[in-house]
Amino acid sequence: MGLSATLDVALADAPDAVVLGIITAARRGDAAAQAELFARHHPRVARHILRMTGDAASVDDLVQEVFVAAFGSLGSFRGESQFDTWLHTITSNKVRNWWDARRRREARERRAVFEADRDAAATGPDETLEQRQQLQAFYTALGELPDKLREAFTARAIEHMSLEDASALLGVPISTLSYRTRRAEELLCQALGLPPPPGRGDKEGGA
Amino acid sequence: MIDVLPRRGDGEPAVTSPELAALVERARAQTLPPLLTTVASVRAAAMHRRQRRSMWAGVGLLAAAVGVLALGLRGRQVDRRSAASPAGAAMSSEAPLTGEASAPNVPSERTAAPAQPAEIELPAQSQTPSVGLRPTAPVGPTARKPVPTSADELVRLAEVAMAENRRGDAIAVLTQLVRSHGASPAARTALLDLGRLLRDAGRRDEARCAYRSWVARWPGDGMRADVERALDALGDGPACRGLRPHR
Repeated sequence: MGLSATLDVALADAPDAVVLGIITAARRGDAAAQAELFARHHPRVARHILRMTGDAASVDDLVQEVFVAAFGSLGSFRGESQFDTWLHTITSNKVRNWWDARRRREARERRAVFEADRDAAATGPDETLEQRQQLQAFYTALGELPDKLREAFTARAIEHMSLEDASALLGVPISTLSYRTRRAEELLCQALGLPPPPGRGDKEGGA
Repeated sequence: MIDVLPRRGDGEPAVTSPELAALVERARAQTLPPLLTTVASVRAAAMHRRQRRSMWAGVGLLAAAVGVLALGLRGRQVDRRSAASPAGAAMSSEAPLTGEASAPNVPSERTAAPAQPAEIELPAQSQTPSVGLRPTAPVGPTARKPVPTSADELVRLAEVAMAENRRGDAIAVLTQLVRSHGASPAARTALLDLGRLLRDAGRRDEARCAYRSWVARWPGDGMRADVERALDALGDGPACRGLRPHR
């Protein structure tokens, strides 16, 4: 069965047939359909990106990257999963690359500036600045996590997804997702110098 | 996929550490900046990428054609020489030249060989750096390699130049990167590298401008204190217009 036939079947059965119609048109290069897809999905993609990276300055670049990739590979979207899920996979891949590039960049930055005077005292305590630095430290620690742990933690803790939704999104069993989230929490607490999560030896202590 | 744990629905908290939960809440509460990306910019970027891909494909084909042509010419020259010299048929490029074989009018094989691919040098004042990429096939002396345009390519070239201690080239590439991709995340690191390289090259006024530009663009960044210390170490100097000192 050809791709368009697959899509036609999906179009007939899918609850959101309109979306599939738009996707089919966008795949043919229809500018209005691409604009419609962009308008429908880019706010959510941008929000995901911000929460996954914590870097507002990179959101625009990454949103563009995601949609360039999405429009370029619409042919591979077979209508078997939600378009949102498919787009989320592209977003996750782009964010992974972003973290890799950021780690390399930061290593160079440390070399570039800290030659002479790295260990000087920090500047005066301004609450906003301190909060910003804490958030930055949090995202730095998040970036150091293995991709799978980071994605599980982001979906569950930052995106507030249910176990079922996150499990479907990331394509892993709930038990795996649950383990990854808790392991990520442990590693984050360790990296940030926070006390270990309560009830870590017990079974589910609750928050 | 087999689930070994019973489903606990949403009863399982994602974060159990109260300190970490507070940080996570702050991460959730971040406000999205106004987005500048539009579907038009996405389409333009996609088109640009396609054009670049076809340009490189064209360059590859051209290089292959030039290579084939050069090999053909070389083969023809060797044939002609072999026909002109009685000893030519027995002589190979690796054979030592004997008294009989090296007739005075026969050019040696070495001089007839096509030029080796050479580093393409650009004029000293050019903003476009020569960063040591070799063409894939022999080309004429006036050929110029395509100027890299994407931030990623420029970052790569700058890294190569820095690794090879070609400070002038690195400065030129980083300047181009900052000027043409000022909004990209790569520009952030590029400005820091640029400041350091300019300072090491004794171009303190320009180094100061690079650091000032960084502070102006990322005033709330956690590294600001370090950059300001680097600025202090450079002392006072003229005002800057972008990356240039304004005298």
